[in-house]
Amino acid sequence: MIRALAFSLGVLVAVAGAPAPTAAEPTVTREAFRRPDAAPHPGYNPYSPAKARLGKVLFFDPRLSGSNTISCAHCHNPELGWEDGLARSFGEAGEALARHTPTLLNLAWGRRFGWDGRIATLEGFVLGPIANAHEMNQDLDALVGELRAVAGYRPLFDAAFPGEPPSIDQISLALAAFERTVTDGGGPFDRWVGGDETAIGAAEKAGFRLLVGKAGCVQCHKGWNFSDGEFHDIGVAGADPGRGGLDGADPKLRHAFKTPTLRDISKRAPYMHDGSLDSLEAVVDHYDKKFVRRPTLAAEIRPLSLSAQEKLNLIAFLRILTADEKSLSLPLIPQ
Amino acid sequence: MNLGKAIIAGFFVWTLSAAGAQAMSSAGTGPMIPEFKEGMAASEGKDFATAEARLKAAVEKLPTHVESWSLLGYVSRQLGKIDDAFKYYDKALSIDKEFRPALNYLGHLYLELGQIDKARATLGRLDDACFFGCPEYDDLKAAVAAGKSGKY
Ligand code: HEC
Ligand code: HEC
Repeated sequence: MIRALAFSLGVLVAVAGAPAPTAAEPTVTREAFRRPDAAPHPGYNPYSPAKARLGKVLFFDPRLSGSNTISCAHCHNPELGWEDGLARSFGEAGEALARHTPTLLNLAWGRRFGWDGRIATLEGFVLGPIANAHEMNQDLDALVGELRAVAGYRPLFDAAFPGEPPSIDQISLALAAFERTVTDGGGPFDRWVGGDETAIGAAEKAGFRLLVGKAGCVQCHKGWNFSDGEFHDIGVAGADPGRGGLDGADPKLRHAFKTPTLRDISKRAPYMHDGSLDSLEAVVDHYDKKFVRRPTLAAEIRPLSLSAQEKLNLIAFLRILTADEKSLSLPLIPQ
Repeated sequence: MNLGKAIIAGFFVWTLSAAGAQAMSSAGTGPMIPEFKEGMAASEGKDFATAEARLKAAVEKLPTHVESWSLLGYVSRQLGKIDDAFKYYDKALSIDKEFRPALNYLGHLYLELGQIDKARATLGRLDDACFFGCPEYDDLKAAVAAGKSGKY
């Protein structure tokens, strides 16, 4: 398995007959993109199948909203890369939310949650959308009462939290435990990383070399999940202060947002925190030269002068990050 | 209506105010050992790694120093070591079950983990610990109310 993993960028580039990387370019090995085997679960919320099962049912249950019409999946749809295909979604209040719905893929590895990273744990995040008037607008205590009255939920809660009556705390623990099971599962790119040269084509390989080389994407979209978990201003127009809007934030973080994963990216249009770019072509044009120049712009963002062919290759690579189809069975909503 | 702004408001108020919470306690009675003083200074300067080391030295020297255990919990949380934070608050509260800063921090930690019922129970303990009211109670009470309404 480890055999073919030690290709450095230098080797890859040399094979393709292109110039060797300059000193400024990072030397990135395929090994740096190897997937971890299992998702981590924290000590304060250890994994159990029963807990994740309860979390999954809750995730798809519209009872979690005040009007019983909107579930988490209304905005985080597994078919759409756990997003909703809208620039900005609508919640119970019927008005567009301030930001685009992000994917929930691979959050088990996340360190901060929300586009601006305002929340430090998944358990702390998941109650927010339920209670928030603009999203699901559901009183949390009333929700516990509502779920306790549903006979079909009893065995699910009992199995997940034996001997304790259903509570807000359990809803948060179960939803978070389920979310940690939401991973992209891997696909052709991972087989290539594992040493299967035929798993991806020449255009995709050229796109990978751009991502780790000339285009510099890897400076932020790092590792198997293609994210450094950090916050950067990449010059998306608009007034949203992002991480810079948090109390006590460093002014240099104005317009900085969390680097999203690139996994399943082809299913996740439109793109960016405001959903303002509707295709991967638009994203690549953005990085090539259409970004907004302002004092907080990340140093890594600079004109790339990509040729039309290079743009196509980069896009081909982004598309290959789509995982193999795996069917997610939708749970029955308890009655 | 700016959703982002509204969401941020409540959450960060308490995150930041928790930093000052230990200082506003009058419940501490232990001696002011130098390691604790250094740990507290480092924590106030947001140098949490140094604070952790100094406070560990403090509890090694004086294992019953409740202030050090409590602050060590807070500092561990800042370093992302949530399981450690629980362990240290437990230790502080096993020495003094009414130690207000530890109860306040513990309540905030529960909120941060979406454990609203546990946070409320902790608020109840804090209420018992400061019968005539205290800043820690007011602080945690406001945070519990904000957490409950999703203004995290
Ligand atoms: C009405 C649409 C909507 C609904 C319903 C919704 N979300 Fe979200 N979700 C969003 C938006 C928008 C964001 C980004 C918010 C921000 O960063 O300001 C988000 C962000 C998140 C994140 C953070 C992702 C990251 O990359 O940090 C998590 C976790 C999450 N939602 C979970 C849930 C869960 C669990 C539910 C159901 C209880 C839910 N959401 C319901 C729209 C929605
Ligand atoms: C300086 C760090 C940085 C670099 C370099 C960078 N990105 Fe990004 N990328 C980000 C951040 C941060 C966002 C989210 C920005 C926002 O929403 O305002 C993002 C968003 C994206 C998105 C949209 C994801 C989504 O969920 O909407 C894609 C696709 C993307 N980047 C691809 C690339 C490609 C391709 C490159 C190289 C040409 C690249 N990025 C270079 C940090 C970076």
